Amino acid sequence: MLKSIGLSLALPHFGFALASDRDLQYDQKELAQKYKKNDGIIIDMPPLADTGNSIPMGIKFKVPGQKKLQTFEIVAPENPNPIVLKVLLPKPQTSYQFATRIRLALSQDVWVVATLDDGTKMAQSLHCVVTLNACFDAT
Amino acid sequence: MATLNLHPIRLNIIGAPIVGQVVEIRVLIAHAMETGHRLGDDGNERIPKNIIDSIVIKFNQEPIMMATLGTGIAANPLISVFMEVPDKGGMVSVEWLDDQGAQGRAEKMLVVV
Repeated sequence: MLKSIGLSLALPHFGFALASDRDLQYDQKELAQKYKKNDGIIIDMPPLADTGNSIPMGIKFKVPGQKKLQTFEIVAPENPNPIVLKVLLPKPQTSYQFATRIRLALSQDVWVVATLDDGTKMAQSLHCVVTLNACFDAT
Repeated sequence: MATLNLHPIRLNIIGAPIVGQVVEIRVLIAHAMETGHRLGDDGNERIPKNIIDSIVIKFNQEPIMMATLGTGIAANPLISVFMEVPDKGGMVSVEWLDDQGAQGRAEKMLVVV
């Protein structure tokens, strides 16, 4: 909360977006408390990125047991809009691979939260250090 | 005559199309993905948000992946999914839609060896 106020003071024209779009559910600490890291998800991302504007990210899912992967989402908690991507698989899968390129506003833990077909959740995170931030500059 | 295409799209199928193997379907769309946070040239007004909202990848008209994108996806979005090659080939197609109503689609035939 303090952090969002500080940011809004420093950058007045971003204040509104940060206050309204920030969902408390996707706070960094809350995510860490809520979800236990699961080895069934492997995130492939550079630990140090030169620019936050485009960071390649690969995800591999291997669901244990009889369960299947239904949906997953990529969450970057420190971004102005924390939810980066939501994917729905019409046919649930036991293993799945996905790759894309994301933007990061700050150095942060990037989370992948998967929902299985019986409603349980799997999550994994990886820290990424960004030397040049995206989203907050005027370029 | 050259045609005006603001958002060219590229759809590639990578890997050996052998039954039981896994091929990669890679989609690359030329789109600025404006976040709504950038300032215009005058430094006062923000460029309005315009991102690709949704991408659907279909195989033989049946969706195999439906994605909702946010502002956190980089410009010129690249989406790559992996699919097991079915017994018979078919048409892989991609459709997308952005905030301002622009849309596009692409098709490619998957021929099984």
